[in-house]
Amino acid sequence: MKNRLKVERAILNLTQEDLANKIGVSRQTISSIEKNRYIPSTLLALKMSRLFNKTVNEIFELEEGEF
Amino acid sequence: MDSTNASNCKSKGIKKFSRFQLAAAYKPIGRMFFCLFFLSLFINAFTINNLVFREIIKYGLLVSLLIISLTKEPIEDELIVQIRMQSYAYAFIGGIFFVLLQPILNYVVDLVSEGHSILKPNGDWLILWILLFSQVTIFETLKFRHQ
Repeated sequence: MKNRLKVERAILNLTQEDLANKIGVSRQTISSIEKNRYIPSTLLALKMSRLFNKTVNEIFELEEGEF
Repeated sequence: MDSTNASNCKSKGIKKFSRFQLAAAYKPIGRMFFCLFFLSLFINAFTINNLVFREIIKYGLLVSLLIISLTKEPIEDELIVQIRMQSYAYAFIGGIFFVLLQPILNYVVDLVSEGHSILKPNGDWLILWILLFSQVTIFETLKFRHQ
């Protein structure tokens, strides 16, 4: 699964630490999501979606062969 | 109380119990006691070799590992919960492998130490120790890999 988390974060000029504090997780979690090492829960994806004012589909995207 | 309420009550109780964790401040305490008991194990074995003292050290090691294992992280988020679950699963599988390999290990340790080893792999204590120690080690390793 691909994600645009780093881009969305850059648009709002947020550091990993800022984003982590805003959605109540650790900086490691944000870093792992950005590196595609961890797929977040629906709850966390929805929190990000609300924060970035984008739909979940705009932030997270399935890759070829994942469906 | 109808059956739905009763089952809700039960599942709430189970959830509360499974989420039981110690505060993050207990981790250094657990680590400190683990180091002290680990050192005492060797000191006792190579000096006074007291059997009662040895039993106390064994249980001390188990309790200190349990404290480390049950301690929360400063930020206990979903990634940490997943890592924790993974570490328990891997430790459980590792424990089964250990039990399967135990006869061979017993033979090798006996051969090397001529029956005088302080760490002869037998008994429930050692299996529990290996389960807890591998869980704590795997948890820290997986956490480190996510940094």
